[in-house]
Amino acid sequence: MPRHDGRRLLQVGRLACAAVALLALGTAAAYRWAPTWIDAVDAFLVARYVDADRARVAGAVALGQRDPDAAIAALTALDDAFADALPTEHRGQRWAEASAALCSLLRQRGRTEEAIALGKRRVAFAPQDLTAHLDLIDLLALRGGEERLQRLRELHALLPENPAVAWRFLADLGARGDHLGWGKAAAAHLRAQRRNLFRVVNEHPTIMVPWLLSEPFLPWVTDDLVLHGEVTLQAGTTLVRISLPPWIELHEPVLQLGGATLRPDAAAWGPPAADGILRTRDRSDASLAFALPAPQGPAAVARLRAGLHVVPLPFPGDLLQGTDADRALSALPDGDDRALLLRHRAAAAFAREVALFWSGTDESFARERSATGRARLGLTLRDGIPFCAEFAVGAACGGLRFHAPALAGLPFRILRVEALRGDGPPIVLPADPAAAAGRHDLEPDGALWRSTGGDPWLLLRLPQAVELTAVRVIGVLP
Amino acid sequence: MKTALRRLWVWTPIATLPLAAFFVAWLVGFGARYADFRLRNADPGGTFGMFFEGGDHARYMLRQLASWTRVGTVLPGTRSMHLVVPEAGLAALDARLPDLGGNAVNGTMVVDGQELEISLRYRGDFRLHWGSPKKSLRVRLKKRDRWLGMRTFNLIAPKTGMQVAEHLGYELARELGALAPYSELVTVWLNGRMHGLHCLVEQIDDDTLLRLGQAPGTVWAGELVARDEWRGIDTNVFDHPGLWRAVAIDGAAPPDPGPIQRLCALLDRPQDEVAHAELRRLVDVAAFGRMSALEILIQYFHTDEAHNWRLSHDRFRERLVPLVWDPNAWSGVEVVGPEHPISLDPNPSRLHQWLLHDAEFLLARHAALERFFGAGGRERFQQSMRTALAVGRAATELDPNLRPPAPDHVLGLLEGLQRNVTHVFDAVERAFVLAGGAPRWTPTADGVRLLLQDRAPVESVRLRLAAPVTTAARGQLRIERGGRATTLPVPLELGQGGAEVDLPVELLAQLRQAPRVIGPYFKVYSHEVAPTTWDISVQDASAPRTIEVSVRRARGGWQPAAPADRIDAAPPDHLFGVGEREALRSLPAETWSGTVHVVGPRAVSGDLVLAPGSTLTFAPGASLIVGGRLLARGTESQPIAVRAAGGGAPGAGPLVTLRGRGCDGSVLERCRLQGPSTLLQLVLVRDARLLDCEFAGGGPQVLAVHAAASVERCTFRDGADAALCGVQATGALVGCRIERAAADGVRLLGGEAVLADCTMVGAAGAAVGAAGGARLVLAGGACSDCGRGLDLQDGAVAAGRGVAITRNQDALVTRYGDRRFGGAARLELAGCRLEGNVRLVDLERGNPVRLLGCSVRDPMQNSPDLQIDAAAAPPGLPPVTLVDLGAAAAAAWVRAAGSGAR
Repeated sequence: MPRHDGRRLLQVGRLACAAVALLALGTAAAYRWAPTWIDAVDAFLVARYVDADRARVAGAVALGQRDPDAAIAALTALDDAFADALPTEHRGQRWAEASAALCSLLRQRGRTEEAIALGKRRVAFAPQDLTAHLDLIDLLALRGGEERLQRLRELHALLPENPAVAWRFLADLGARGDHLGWGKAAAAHLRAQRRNLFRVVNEHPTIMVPWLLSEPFLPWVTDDLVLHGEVTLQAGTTLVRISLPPWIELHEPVLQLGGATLRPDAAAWGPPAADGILRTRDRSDASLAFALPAPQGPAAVARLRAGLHVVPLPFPGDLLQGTDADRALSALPDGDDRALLLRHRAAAAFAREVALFWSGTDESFARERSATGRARLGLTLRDGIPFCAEFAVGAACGGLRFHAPALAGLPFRILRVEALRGDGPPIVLPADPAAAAGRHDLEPDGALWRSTGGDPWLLLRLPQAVELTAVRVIGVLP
Repeated sequence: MKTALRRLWVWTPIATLPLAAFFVAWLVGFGARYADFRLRNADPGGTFGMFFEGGDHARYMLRQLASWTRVGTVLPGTRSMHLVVPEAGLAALDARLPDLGGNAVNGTMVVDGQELEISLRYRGDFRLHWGSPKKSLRVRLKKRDRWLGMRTFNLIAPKTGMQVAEHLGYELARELGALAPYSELVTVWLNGRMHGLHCLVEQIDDDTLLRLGQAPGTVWAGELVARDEWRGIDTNVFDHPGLWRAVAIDGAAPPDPGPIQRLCALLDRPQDEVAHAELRRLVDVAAFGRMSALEILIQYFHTDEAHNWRLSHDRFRERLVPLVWDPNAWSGVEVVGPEHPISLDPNPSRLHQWLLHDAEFLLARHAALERFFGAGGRERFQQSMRTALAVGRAATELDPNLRPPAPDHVLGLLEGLQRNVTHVFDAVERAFVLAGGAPRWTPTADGVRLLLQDRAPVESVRLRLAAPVTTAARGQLRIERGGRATTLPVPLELGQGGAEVDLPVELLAQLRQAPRVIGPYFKVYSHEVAPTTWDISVQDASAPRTIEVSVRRARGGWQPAAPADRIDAAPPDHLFGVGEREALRSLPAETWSGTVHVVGPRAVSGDLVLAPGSTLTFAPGASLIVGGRLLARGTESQPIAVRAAGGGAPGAGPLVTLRGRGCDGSVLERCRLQGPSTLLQLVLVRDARLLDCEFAGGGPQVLAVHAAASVERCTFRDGADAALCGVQATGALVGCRIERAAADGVRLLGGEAVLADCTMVGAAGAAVGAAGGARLVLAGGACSDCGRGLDLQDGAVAAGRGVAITRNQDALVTRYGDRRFGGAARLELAGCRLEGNVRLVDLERGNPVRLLGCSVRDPMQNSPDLQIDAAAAPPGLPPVTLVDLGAAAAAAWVRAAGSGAR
């Protein structure tokens, strides 16, 4: 090599080393003094290589609402693009989302065989994805044959306790009285409900003070759940009032503020019950009040702690709709399982729709003077399922007609009806069979009502026509 | 100036080249990791941030550079383990991350000068295990190879900055007597490069139970996180019995999910006495008590609703036994520091929540803690901890892949660990062992009410009475639960002429669900003590008045209780199983005489007395299960007969079963048992005695499982299987005769036995067979006309003196039957006589036999494992240490020493 070329090469080497060293120093400086720059680079790369894929899948899935055929084409392209990804890769997860949407669209468009083939790939890709299994099992039902039952049996062997699996298994067996399956399904439902309590409580609209629940994980407890809430107080607060929903039971609620532990103001509740539990029962205006020892400074944090027994819950009644429940009921012998199924089917019906008609001063009822609603259901394991249905009225009423769900043989008990006024205490109407002014397709059965036809309703008269804002019907499904 | 600058420029590469090289290496290395864990993979188990991980990557590189200057350095106090695998294989493993499936890489392990073929892969659920340069590894040996009795083990990269906490968790488990896999701190070298400090943890599999001295069984794993998670279901292992996996399988039987299914179904029921009794039948409550003690001491909440359950099902005991797995030791305390309260009754799962309401469990847990603090366990553990901490400190300097790569931070954590452990131990000792303030008492209409408010159980209650009671007095414990009162009988001991009454009943304060422990713990829930009252009375015609009450606790002896004017009732409505054992003991014994015909399964809860001359006949399929003592004392003229009527069926269940500690002290004397199946089964029984009995037919004629028994002057004839079979049993056979067994005369799987002056004749199998680490002493007696004289396998150790081994096919056999036991068999005979055998020895290589001062008239065989020294003097004591030789056996040993058998 000529000598001047060697020198030039050395010079280039020095320059390259110096440039890279400068880059290194710059990177080190950024790590030391400008971490936001590093985060920005990180965010850019993630947006470029991860979020872009996520957006592509989301866009294709959303397209399915407007143009299923175009969505199928887009999702098929994604299927090809991501098919080689491993389940642990983010592209694998995108494939799982895209293939689930594609499967559903293919099924909608009647392309069952393609959907089944894709469904099998989904199961092979994620053998521990219950949704993929159940989707495939549903698809196989469209095709017919033994494969569906075979797959269902395999799944049931692994997950006999899972409500969705147990229920499908029961239905698939032609309701041959596998009451064990039903019992397990119902028990699993109840457990699932109990585990979701925190989330439900947090979202419940009647809790006015926001509760920041400190612990999303809820362990299984046999009797008590422990509730923790955190409230940031405004400056100068002297009283903390926490509204509670009906059908909630709290054990020894206390508010911790700094080093002090406060008990609720006894005036709101009177002395606690012998077992130390505060029960809101059917009160919709229940609240806990804690008088603070001194006005609080800014951003003081109060922590609520209470044992939690019963809370209102949305009821997952979809499982009990359709003919499966009827088939199961026709097959089940009398016993606990049958009673459980009846009770939960009734609860599902109340959670689906109930209605209230009200009469004006002319005492006539009409569709335009009615409201429909969904009963909120409480959870109790022994005495039945409590419910509370609330209807907005906003009119002067002389009579109230409560329409129960059209389910023959449905037993229910109405504990009370509260007619709420804007300016005054609610008017409480008894609703036991002796107090009813009229009924249709309903027969009294002791303190219960039992529906006998397709339009069961119960008529209650107000003492006089009153302007009402809302009406609450509170009862229990035995 | 210009020249100087030019000269400077010329020499700049001295500084810029290393910097540039380092930067390029960082960019390539970190870029690859970033692409893998941030862009390509879904990053389970947390986020992979460019800022923190980039900085750490540079620190790792600097530490690795520094380690090149210390080639060959080993972390002091650790074993060096060299793993050699193809670099291409490692690259393939890296490429698949975080998928840990696929083919493992074949390679070699060199440890303790031993070279073993292995397969290697990464392991662990989360990035914590394989996202940094130090990766957790799983090593598997070839099928027939074992290292320290293990075939598969994990080399776990420390999960927390505390480095050694995982190992210490296992160490403490072993100290407490909980079943835990083997663990050790090791320095791992990968392809000649130091990979750093790892915690070696045995992978729980078939070998584990055997190595732990347990009977073979199935180990079920409850895991529903990470790769084991099912999408679309709750991750609660007790809701999904179908998702428990068998990770160790008892070769003798296919895995039976029944026990797991029963446990899950049980936990779905409301808690009551019946359900708790069932729970105690299903799980080994004592083992759970030891595990719970561990959980408290290491503040371990990691066996929860979602994962880390390892339950072994022992088919002999029919109990689920927990194994410790993944103890995230003191990690909660690391976060919050010692000023925070600790969880004294952790309840992270539904099963915990049941057990915390079970008196037997609470007593077992307390006993484990009492032993730990009272018998030097704490001191021993702290010694281990000092050693481990020294290793951890050394790692901060020498480990190139120290995680986190911040030595000062790690040193701080190690110091904190020591402090926090002391804090936790002190708190636990105060709450459990040093607790036990004077309980309060107040008189009631017919006795006393005792108020307990702490965790220390009361073992016995003493009442001083105003007037003496008669011997007809009866003790009672009254429990009111849910408005209903139950009365349990309590044994009663009289003192001071009847003016002082001792009621040996174990009482506790019950626990209730407490709010979550304050502090940012991970999933820390707890129970807490609830004041509990116990109503105790002495029923007697004299209706005595109590004037003073004392209680006895495990520590501190008798202690007076403080009188109180009034104590409101706080009944133990959430505590189940109290006073059961006492009630059982105080049950009047049932006496059978004449001829009693047993049909179907029949259970007797309390003591059963068989009168001399009585006869028990069993219909086909019938069985008798006794929960108390069986006292069958026949006489020479009036023996007791037990037999299956109509012949019965071979292979049916045992005729008579003694199960549980309630049967301790059972005696069968001059009984004649005959039938087609197992005649007598002893499960978890201590101090059972069989004297001058005769067994005919059936087999095993006596089956002892985790039992301790002495058998004296008994005869076993014509067994259809082994005459006596022990599974992890302890026993002494003195002066017994075993004839014509269709299999072995005596068969031991684990456990310990002494055979003194016993004669085994005509067994189709071995006169005496031992395996699975069994320890055996033979003193005198004979093994004649059998298929094999002594047959030892798999870690069995035997010593004999003065035994005549004659006319067998093979006199002495030692071999590996099942390499899972990992050990060689050893036999040493002194002063024995061997003659007339077709073959003297049949020894598999590596299983040594020594004959000292024996008379050998059989043809000699050359075997490197056979050592014969005809002139050697027999040793004075048996060379194997037994727990208790027993008086009769010891006498036989001495007698055999005096006579010899030449």
